[in-house]
Amino acid sequence: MLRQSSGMTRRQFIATSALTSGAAALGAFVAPALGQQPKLVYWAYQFLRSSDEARVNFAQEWAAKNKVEMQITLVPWKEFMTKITAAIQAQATPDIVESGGVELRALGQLLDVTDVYEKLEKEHGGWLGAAPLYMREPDGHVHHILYGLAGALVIARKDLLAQAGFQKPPETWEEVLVQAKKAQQLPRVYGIGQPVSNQTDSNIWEVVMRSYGARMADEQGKKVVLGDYKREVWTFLDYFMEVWNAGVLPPGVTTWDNTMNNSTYQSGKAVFVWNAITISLWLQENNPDLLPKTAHYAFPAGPKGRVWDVNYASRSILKYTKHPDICKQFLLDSMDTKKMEKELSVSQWAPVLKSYLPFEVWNRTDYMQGLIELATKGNPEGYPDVFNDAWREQNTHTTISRLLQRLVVDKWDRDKAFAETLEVLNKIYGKYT
Amino acid sequence: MLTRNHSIAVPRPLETAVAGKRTFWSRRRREVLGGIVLLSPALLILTGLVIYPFVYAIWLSFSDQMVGVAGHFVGLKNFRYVITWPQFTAALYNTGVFTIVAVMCKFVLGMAVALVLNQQIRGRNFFRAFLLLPWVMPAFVVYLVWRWMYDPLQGLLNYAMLDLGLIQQPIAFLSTKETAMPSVIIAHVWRSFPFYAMSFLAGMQTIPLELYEAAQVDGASRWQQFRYITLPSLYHIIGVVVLLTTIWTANAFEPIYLLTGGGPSDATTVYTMLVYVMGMVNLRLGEAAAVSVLFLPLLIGLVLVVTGLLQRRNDTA
Amino acid sequence: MRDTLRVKVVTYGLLAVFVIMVAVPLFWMVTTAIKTNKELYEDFSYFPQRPTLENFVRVIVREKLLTNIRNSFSVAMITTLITVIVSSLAAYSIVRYRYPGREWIGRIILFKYLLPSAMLFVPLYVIVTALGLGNTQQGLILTYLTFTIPFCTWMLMGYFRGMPVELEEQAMVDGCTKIGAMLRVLLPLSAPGLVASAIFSFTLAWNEFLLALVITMDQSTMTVPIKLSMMVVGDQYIWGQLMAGAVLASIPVGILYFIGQRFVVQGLAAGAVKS
Repeated sequence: MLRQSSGMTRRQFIATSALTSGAAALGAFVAPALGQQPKLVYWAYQFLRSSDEARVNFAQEWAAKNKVEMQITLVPWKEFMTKITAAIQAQATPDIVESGGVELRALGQLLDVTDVYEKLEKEHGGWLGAAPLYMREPDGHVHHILYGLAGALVIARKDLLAQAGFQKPPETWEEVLVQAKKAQQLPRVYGIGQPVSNQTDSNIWEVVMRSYGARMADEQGKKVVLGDYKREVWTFLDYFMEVWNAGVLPPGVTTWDNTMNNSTYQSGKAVFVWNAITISLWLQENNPDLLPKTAHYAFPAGPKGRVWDVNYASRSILKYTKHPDICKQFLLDSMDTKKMEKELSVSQWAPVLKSYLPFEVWNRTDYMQGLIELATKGNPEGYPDVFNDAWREQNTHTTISRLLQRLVVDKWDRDKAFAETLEVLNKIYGKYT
Repeated sequence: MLTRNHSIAVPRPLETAVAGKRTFWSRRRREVLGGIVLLSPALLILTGLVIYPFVYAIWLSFSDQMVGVAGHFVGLKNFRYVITWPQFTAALYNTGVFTIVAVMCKFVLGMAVALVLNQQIRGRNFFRAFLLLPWVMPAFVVYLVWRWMYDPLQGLLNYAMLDLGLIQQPIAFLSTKETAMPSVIIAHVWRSFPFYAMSFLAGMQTIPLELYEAAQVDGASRWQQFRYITLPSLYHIIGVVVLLTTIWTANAFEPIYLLTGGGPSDATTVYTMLVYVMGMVNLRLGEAAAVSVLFLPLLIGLVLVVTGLLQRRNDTA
Repeated sequence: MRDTLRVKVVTYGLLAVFVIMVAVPLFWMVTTAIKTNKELYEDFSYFPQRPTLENFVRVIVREKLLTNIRNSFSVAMITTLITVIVSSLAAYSIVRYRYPGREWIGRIILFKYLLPSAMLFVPLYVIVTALGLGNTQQGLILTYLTFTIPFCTWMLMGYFRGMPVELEEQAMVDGCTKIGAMLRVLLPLSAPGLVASAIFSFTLAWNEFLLALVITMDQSTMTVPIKLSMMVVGDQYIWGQLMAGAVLASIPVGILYFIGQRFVVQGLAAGAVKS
């Protein structure tokens, strides 16, 4: 009889709890107490354990010494752009980042650090190799500070090559094929562990093509001119088909990701791979028997010369930071000679400042010496093309590798595949003019 | 849609008539209020966290927004760009094939597993938990393991098949045009079938045993029992599961990204790969949004078709 | 119900097939976790020659994976709890009440899934940060609710519709309110559906990658999938540790499911008031 009134109560109860659960989910949270210390958020580049640890440790010590509260997040390189995209859109950006320098610069997200650049230049006797080219913009401004140059070397099984009668490193791409064919030991060891896939390690093929004399766009980097280089492209395709038909590439290269060439070499299944010295550093720790059998060579040349892309690692400051000067100090201190000497000995970077050259670590091993060669003989990424947004987008798209896949996977004829390549390039470059 | 009026007809308790008029809070009003109150937490969350992103995404598709840079309205530019992108048609085709084949396989396998697990078998609890495991692990791990198993040089499948003499040369499952998509589908079905199995199993458990016993007495075969008792009782569940997983499968990203990266060439490129590359890699949010918006009609069409089929099934049941 | 021999053979035969099908990749995962590094990279072997627990030790001590497992667990549990409650209320509302627009809500609820997470995660993160919930478990839970609630509501709508209304009406004639009828009659009978929803919710929250990647910043909030992805270091997979981490991450959930299974049976027995 009295159920009616308790019904209302129960409904109220449900209503209250429903609203409460909703409110709890959106609950008001106390704003972080305003501390005495400035707070910085630092997204460190995660790529190689020893190197990552060195940088993180330095950051922690620096923060303690300078009385700064630092939140350090290790961001895997692959996930960086995803994370920073969301952060920028949500206006919740970190202060210092170690990836995406060029991309973020193009989007106008970075703080001007020309003063840091010039200070370092003075203190360390100058920048090395392609480093200034990556940093100095046409108007003289600088928005990110490089701390390392990186790139692929030719990593080769010199024991197997010696067995096949080759003592000297291959000087041209043709020689590579000759040596690979002879030195490989099928079915266990393949000649060349190089992907032809949609992942960026496959862009080595673009480097090869450029060494055959072709280029994507004109001197200004605006208009697509690859169509004018059909002859060079066809010669390059002849070379590639020779490689493909020689059976020196292991099965599966058309879907290899960026780890496969590493693991293939490390398990002793390839004679040649093109990779950063992360392989050598891994071997040192996990398979030291293979290391002495490994040689580190410079990139070979094509008919029109050597093209050896060097890329970079840099640190930059988001323009939204509340503590620009503290951040700049961090950037400066991160380049300290003693600190870098320790760090470079466990990393995969080539030096960027002249004061780093005398480090004895460069002479310690074969692959470290290879890095010096990289720094001095390499060219900026994309050479002779302009390293701009359009080039980068087609590079991420692995355009040339896709051209090759059209030939060997889809069995298209060259004209059809090349026409598609030009169409894609025109669409991409068309967006950026 | 799936409506039979299941609202409860509540008999008027005596005291209301006696206690006098409560005209404002009439039964009808209270019912409406009660319904809405119960619905409100869900509605609150969904409005804020679903409608806004949805509208935002649609707005993006008409803008040239890049990350961190304000966007301007550019009309249909993104759409034109995306539709003429060489991989777009491949994405359409691959998404369709992947979705339809995967859903069918998952359905059949899930139903079979559910039927088996619904029987009186020894150790039933253990097997139920065990067969759920593929769904329990992070997708990342599952697809990496499968990637490695498929590997031509270092993978379990090739080694086993070579050792057993089934093949002479390793097969690059994920890298050969003809085998790439089937291989991706197999790995995906392995990972996702427990979802179906669980749903169907839960549904089967609410079917009273007496129905089966009666049917058996009448001489019905197991197949007939399945067809005339089990299946009809599961219509609602099947409807929900097939519909939702069709959409989820069409939106699948991890299987392709982790197994083949869309390759070889564009043999396994599905539309979510395009969205990811355009939005997350190239940072061109407008293009990514345009791809998403272009696929909406396809997905909405699927929703309508499947619910329409279910409606008809329901009516004739 | 007595099963014929033939039925038994088919049943157990199929069971064996399914178990093998599920077991092979799992076996591969577990054996990888107990192989030494050397074994993993040099020669192929079906079984580990020198099984070791060093990968597990490394993952627990060096990577502190247990913290991440705890984070994942609490996020998933709270998400599940809120989801089941909110979805039951909403489903009950749509199915058993009458008010304008309820059918449309039932339909639109599904549309949420039409957009891929690759598009939705950016605005979701914007909202979470605006609420001051960046790098918190609460923020993560909030975003997870957006994909657990629609599905569970839909699923429970299906279940509730299949339940005969007469039972609740009977309860109300006996003096229950509408809500009371739901709590006393409908929910117990829908136990399998509720448990299924809970399991789905939990799994979706447990395995989610993209939102966790963007929202969590450090060890204190990072969930298991993100932590595992960090074992892909640059261009190398640390296979041994990765698989060890995966095994560790699967154990608590496996146990949870095992218990959940039993609960379904109990729930059914408790609510078996048919006809």
